[in-house]
Amino acid sequence: MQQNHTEILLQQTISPQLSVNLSKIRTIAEGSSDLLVNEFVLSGLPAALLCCEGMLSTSTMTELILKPITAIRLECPTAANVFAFIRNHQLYSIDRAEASTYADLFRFLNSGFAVLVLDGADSALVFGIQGYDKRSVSEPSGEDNVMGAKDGFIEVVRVNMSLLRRRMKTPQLKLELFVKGSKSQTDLCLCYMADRVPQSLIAQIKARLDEMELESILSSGYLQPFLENRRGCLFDTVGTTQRPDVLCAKLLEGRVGLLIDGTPFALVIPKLFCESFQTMDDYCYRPAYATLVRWIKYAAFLVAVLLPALYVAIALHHPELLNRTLLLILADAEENAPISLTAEAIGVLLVYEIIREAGLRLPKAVGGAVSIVAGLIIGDAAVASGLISTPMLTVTAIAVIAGFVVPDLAQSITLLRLAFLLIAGFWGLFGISLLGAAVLFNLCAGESFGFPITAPIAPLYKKGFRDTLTRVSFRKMQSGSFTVEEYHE
Amino acid sequence: MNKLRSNQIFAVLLGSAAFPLLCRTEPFTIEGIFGAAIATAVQLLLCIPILLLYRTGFCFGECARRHRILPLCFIVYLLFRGGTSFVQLQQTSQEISLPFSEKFLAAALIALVCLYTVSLGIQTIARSSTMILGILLITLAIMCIGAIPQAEPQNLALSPNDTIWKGFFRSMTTADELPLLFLLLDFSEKKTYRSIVPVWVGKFLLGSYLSVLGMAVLGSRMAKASHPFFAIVSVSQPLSTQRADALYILVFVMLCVLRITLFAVLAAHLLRLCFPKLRYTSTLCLLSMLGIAGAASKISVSGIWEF
Repeated sequence: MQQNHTEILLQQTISPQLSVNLSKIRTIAEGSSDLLVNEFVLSGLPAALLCCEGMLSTSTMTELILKPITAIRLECPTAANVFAFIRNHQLYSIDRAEASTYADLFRFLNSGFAVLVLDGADSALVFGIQGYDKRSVSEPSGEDNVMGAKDGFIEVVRVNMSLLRRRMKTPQLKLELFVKGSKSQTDLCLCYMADRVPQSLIAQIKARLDEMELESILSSGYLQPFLENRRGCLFDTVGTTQRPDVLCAKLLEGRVGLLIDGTPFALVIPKLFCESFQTMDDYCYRPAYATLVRWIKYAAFLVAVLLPALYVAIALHHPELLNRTLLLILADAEENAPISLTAEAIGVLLVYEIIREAGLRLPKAVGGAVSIVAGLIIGDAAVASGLISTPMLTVTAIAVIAGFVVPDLAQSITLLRLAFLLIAGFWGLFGISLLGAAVLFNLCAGESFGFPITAPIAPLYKKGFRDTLTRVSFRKMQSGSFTVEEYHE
Repeated sequence: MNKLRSNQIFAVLLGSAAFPLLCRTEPFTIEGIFGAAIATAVQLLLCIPILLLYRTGFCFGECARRHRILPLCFIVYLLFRGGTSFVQLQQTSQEISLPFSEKFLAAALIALVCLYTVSLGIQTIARSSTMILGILLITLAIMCIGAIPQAEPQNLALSPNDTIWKGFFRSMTTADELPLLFLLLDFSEKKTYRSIVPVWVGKFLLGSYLSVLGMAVLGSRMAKASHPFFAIVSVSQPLSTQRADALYILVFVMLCVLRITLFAVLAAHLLRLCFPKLRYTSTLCLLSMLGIAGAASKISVSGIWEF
């Protein structure tokens, strides 16, 4: 009941009577300790300056608003005159707006704006003087590189917008800010190059976001499902990045970026599968080396997914594929193992996942200890006691390390590795081939707003090979500006 | 409606045509190559009326709605060819050392995967076929690396047991590209002669490549080989101490899934055109194909399992 009353009040327009306004504002914010109401007289008129504690800079507020506003003296002071004077002769803040309903007023208030309510005025003036604590721009933790820029997105959307603007000074870069989430009122920023992006893509993304009925948007993962086309795709069709330089490169290719306030990750639409193997460093290295590195990544992906499964399949069902020396080594190692090879492999992989999860969630100081316990004590003791064979541990370790080469595909790799392992235990290479076919078809079915994620391989675009199978030099890449629209089906 | 590009039609048809080549039981011969060349020329000539028909603005989908007999004939043909592919799979599965004794299980598992792949639609088949064709090309290149040291050019001689006409009829009876092309052109934007010529040229080159390689490597052993492709594979290992059979199992299964999915997705599409209210058309088609495969193996349940 109280909830409904608050919702009704929020939709009401601001009253010309200050006392009524303050009463309604206090009713809406009942129980909230962070609402500060400073009542004062402005050129003879009762006024109030509202703010949310901790969301704005008090020194900026004192210097830029309180001092000049209390000094205003008008000959004929009416609410309209005072507002007109402030609008036309005073600046206070470069981010100024007006709120006409209590919903608007509270959105501004809780976003770090100072709100001026004046007796006789049916709207409130708001001044952007946000000054809340934020993390400084630092190197992104998940997308390290050697030669690229060292700055990454932070949790504040406006800072992230500035990081983009610093790199792309062209007015063709559009940064559209809007609010989503009925409760969280999260600022989202749609970024695109107006001269590169397909207009239909922008329209479709906006339509999807409009259809969304989320109460809150606390991370990029909340939005991702609404921007993905098909359920059941094993691979991401919406990309994420923490790097402004990467996002700029994507925008230049006609993609759309979505910055979300409160998260240091930007969403990139559409995402192609081959992009998971590209890093900013590739474009800093010499083309030949970058091409080699890229092929190593493709191989690492296959190793990460298939190596444990191939080991189990060959050892269990197709020993004839091994040469004599290898066969003897494997037979010797597995002879005394107390559990089946498939169970052993799945067990080792699951233990790795548990250790990884423990290392991630624990405080960093304890995380190091987990690595020592896991690597030295459990690993060594398990092999020494004969629970796990050395070749199995080696194969698993190689597969896991190979997975680190393509961190973008970590989730898919983990799931696929276990699935392939299980099927390899049942049906050997035939099972791997069957699942491989299913995964290939699943991958090829992946689409993001009409862009097949397997482009430029399937469908085939020879021009796209220059940054997929190879990485040609910028001398060649500069000719014929590429946009992702070429891949649209 | 999904639109296919000409290079996708090429990949789909070549990928589909490659599977029977892998399952082939007749020996590769020089006469067979000449016979296949004549068959290719004849089929290319037969493409002309199909293209001329489509040039007049013909739309198979609309025609099928008005005259049900035409799509029904195609459905029967597609189901029969799908069933034949299952039979070929079972016959060849003895060559790829399956880890289970029941041969029908291989067909059932393939059908299970196809049930999923069919649900993804013709566009996905078209995209996948490009990748599968890439895997096939890599396989053939590796096969070539392994075969060259074993090849003896003097083995390339005329066969006393084969003739050009036998080769021609063999190629004509096993070819199913024309009906498939007729159906796939309905999904295509570009219906030009130039865009379909590579399909037959590619198929002919693939067959000739395997024939020449097989004859050079196997020589007199070719006549005794139950499945010439796998006989070539078994003697053309690229590494001296390591076998690469896994690669051939992979390409064999991929091509099989592609071919059966193609037949099933086209048959299901036609079935929906004839009977719009019918549901589970893909499942029905795949079950029918399995049924035909079972009937082909002596029409007895025990026969299916002992195939």
